[in-house]
Amino acid sequence: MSSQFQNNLNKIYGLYAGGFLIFVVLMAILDTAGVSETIISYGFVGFTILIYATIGIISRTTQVSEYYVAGRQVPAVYNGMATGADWMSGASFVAMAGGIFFTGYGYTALLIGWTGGYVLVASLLAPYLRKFGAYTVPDFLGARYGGNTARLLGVIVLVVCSLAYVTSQINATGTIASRAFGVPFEIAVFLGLAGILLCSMLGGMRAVTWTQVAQYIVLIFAYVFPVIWLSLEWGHGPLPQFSYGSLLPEIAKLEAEYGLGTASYEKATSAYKGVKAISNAHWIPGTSGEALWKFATLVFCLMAGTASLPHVLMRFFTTPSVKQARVSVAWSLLFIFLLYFTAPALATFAKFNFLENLVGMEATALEAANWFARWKEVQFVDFKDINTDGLVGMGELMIRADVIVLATPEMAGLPYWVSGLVAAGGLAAALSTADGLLLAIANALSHDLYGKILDPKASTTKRLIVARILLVIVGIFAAWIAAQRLTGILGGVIWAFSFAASGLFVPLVLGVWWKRANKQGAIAGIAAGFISGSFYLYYLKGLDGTPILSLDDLRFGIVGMVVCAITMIAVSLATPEPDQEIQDMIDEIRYPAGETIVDQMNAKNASS
Amino acid sequence: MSNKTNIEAHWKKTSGLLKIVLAFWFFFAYVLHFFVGSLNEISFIGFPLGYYMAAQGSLFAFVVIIYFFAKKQNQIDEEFGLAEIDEE
Repeated sequence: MSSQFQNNLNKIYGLYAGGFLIFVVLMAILDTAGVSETIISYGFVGFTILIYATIGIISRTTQVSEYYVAGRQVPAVYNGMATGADWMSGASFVAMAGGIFFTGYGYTALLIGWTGGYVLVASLLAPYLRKFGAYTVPDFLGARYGGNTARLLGVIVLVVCSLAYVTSQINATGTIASRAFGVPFEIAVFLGLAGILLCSMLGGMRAVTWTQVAQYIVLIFAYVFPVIWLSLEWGHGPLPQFSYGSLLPEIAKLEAEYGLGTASYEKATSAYKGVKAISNAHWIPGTSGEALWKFATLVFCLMAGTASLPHVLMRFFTTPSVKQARVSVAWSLLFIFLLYFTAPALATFAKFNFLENLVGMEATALEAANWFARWKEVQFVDFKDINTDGLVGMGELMIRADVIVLATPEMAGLPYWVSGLVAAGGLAAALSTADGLLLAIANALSHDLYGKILDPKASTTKRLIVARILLVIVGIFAAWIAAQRLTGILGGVIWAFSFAASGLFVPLVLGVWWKRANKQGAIAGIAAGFISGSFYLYYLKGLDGTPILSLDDLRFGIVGMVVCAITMIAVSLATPEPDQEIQDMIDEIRYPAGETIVDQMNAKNASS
Repeated sequence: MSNKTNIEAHWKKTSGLLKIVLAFWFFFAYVLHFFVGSLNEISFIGFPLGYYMAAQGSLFAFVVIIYFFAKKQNQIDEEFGLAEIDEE
């Protein structure tokens, strides 16, 4: 089955994309014919989950290398799509445009950080880790820094950052599933988990790869299509990414007219959590030293986090060669770019629609609008007439950031099926990322903790059974945390980047680029970086401390990275250099030719 | 094929490429955005340039940088005979 499938990838996914388009058209026709909105939602969410589950079940496997790294047979372009889906989570799809809508220029740092990080992935890490030939990221740390202490520390950092990330993804699937199926959030969370496990449990990395490709196709279409529609409708042509510029001065004019940023600007506050009024200019940047520093530090945290998040790095273990791993990073970023460079266009359209059409309308007309009633019911929008003039003021209409992506089609008057499509896209984004993260956690626990540390003599069958059991346990644990609703979607994700950057960025990069880095240095560095980063976060959130140098909880990774780098370099230099065997290994990682290091080690162990 | 001086020369050239790549990366990730205020005075396809570079331009630059890197690095590997032998 495998090779036949591999040879026909273009045909299979071409048919799949065509089939999905036909399904969308069918839904559009049903919607126009007056079929109820509930059925349209059920259709979009149910049909796409069914497809993912089918792919997950067809791709089941009992081979270890298929389970961990998809047999290292994923072509660069398809790995790029899978990485795109793996990478773009509920935060990118649902929350990012809304963040830019509210925070304005300051949050374009998210766009730069989450794309520029791939330059670091491509040039500093991915090809070298691929040549090493590990199954997991801690695997590399264990071999490079001589032993199980570094491996174990790697597992701890991996589990913490991935758990922080995955709970917010399960949260996102729960939010969408609860709206689509009309069930309480606490139950919807476990429905979402079932959808995630169906994709990953039987086939591990192989199944996750091929479902992620399918999920990418759904999510990119669902994101870009409504924006292009709006753009055409409002006379900006088919490529909004290049043509919305004329709206910017108009937005600035309206903001000034409504008094944004002046003393007389009145802002209502909502009783609902996370629902707020506009308080920042849309595109005019802050140019104070502090604003520039905050911009740059957020960008760097996100970039370093990108280059150390294990669920992303391990996608590049699946390509057939080192060369393909490099090219694959380029494809990944191209596919990610398609969504990211559309996001500011969407945020700007939504802002213009908000200022031009919603602000100034009769309060009674707003409250009678279909979309307003529907989103108020789930506490995503709110309105208070502070000055009692009977009109909607700019500071009086409050919304939750997530609404920008999910409800802009409705607000702008597009038919309901477009909203159904957007919900399916958001679900694809959250499911695919959750799959990658859960697999990263479960693989590190089964391969590194169980297979290498606790029971190195376990048979491969036993290891795979343990891997699957751990996947289910970790999933249930994460869903349970998500059901407690501790963090929002965007907050949890940005923290994950700082955790990963604090503990992993420096040891991974120095592991390839600095031969002198040794075991003692790495152990001290990972521990010091991760502990200081975590403690600083606790200082900010738990003890309500004042941020030092304006480094707030979105930027705590800077503290961790600096401590990690200083400790690791100082301790490495104070202790003996790594032995000859490790130095030779580093030499070999640095060029593509020859077998992977892990294969060489296995061959040596087998012959001795 | 892989004697020590050859490997060292390959790594020297690889490190050189890394410096170029990181210089471009640093420019588009940081340097440019320090001047957002003045760049916004310039109009680019109807956008204030500083804003456009943060919202879209830099992202595109990153895509180009990685394709460039992948191509150049492969040329270096081949030049020193250290590329993989294609299996297909």
